[in-house]
Amino acid sequence: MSAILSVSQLNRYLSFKFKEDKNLRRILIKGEISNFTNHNRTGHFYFSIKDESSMIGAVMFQNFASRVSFLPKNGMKVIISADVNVYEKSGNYQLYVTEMQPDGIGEAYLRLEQLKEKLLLEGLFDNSYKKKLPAYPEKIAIVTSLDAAALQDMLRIISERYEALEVEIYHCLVQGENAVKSTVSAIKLADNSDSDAIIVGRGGGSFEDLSAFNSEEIARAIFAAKTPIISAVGHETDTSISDYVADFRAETPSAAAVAVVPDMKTVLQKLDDMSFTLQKLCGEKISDFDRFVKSYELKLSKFSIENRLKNIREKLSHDEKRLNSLYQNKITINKALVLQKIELLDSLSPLKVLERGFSLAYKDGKIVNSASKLKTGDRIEIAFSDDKVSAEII
Amino acid sequence: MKFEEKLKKINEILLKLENSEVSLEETVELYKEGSLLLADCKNEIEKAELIVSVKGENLE
Repeated sequence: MSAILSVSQLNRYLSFKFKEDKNLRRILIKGEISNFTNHNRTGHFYFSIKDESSMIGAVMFQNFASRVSFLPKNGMKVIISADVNVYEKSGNYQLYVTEMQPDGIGEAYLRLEQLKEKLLLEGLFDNSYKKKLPAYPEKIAIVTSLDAAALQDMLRIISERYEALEVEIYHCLVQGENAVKSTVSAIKLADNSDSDAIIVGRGGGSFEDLSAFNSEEIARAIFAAKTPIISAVGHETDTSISDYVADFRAETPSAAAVAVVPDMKTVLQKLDDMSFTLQKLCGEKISDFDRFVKSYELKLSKFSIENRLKNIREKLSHDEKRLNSLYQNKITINKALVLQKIELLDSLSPLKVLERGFSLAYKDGKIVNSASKLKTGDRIEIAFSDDKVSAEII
Repeated sequence: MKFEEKLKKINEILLKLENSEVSLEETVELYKEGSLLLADCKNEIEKAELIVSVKGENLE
């Protein structure tokens, strides 16, 4: 005997079982709508889907319900895409609807959904295969009909945004029985044209008009291309298989034109910014070098010849002044000494004695200091204070 | 050189000037190269005219 479960535990377990079953994911069901309630406040749809003998509850939450392009009514035959899950609170299983189409186009819609599923499983829609669009394309290809008004719109927008571009138009039939073949061959040609990106698309139209872009052949041609491809089919609300498989989905051909080229003004602004940065960086570097050189010049100038000469000159001039002053001092001192000596000499001078009445006798230029040194007949000179006279000894 | 490659090259020059120790000679060289590339890019997109042609074999 197994353990006793609570109701919540049982419902959670059932919910888990439902979620685990892949056969209950993304299933397509056709039937008639009944008990339809459009919950005004939340925008959710609550209804049932029934056939002759059976019925199942369904809920379509606001985020999905808002994408339904018609207003569902009781009695309307529809095809829906949904998961089956358990609503644990009441223990009901019900459909959680993600897409709804009227059953009028039933067959085609069903085929489309099946193809979408097949390509999805094959990985054709995987993000890992998506190529990046070039930021600055130089050549692009547009695969569309020459008659399409969408082509004129695209060319006008491109020429307004960015002129540095070569555009090659690969004409193809975008509707009718030859559309698929024609478009596939144009995609292949465009892919071999060395273009940086390809826009594949057409303007709006009915489900049938757009059907070529839901074909497997075009999907595979887009997937096989080595050039990044922008898919631009119909209006915002139309989503084709081309959109899923392309590297970039543009909601409209005009949006594709905006996505494929940059805006010239922005590019010029970017170039100006780069130019400013270049000037600024180089200016800063050169000022750094200048400062560096100047600092060395300053250091070097201390050792320059001019500076050394200047130093020597200054030293010489200083020494000269010093010498001068020493010399002057010496002279003054010496002068005083000499004067002193002169005075002394003066006081001792024999002339002073002569002035007092004494006289000096010279013989042969020598002073005669004794009478014994003279004999009769010697010629002598007698010096007085004012003059000399000659005399003879008798 | 393609426009995009030129822009890439200019960006490399700016990065070099910003980050690494470059000599005076190198700075002058980088400045010359960067200015030429910028002038080239500007000239290219200002002077260019949109060329549109129709190709393919689907013209019937």
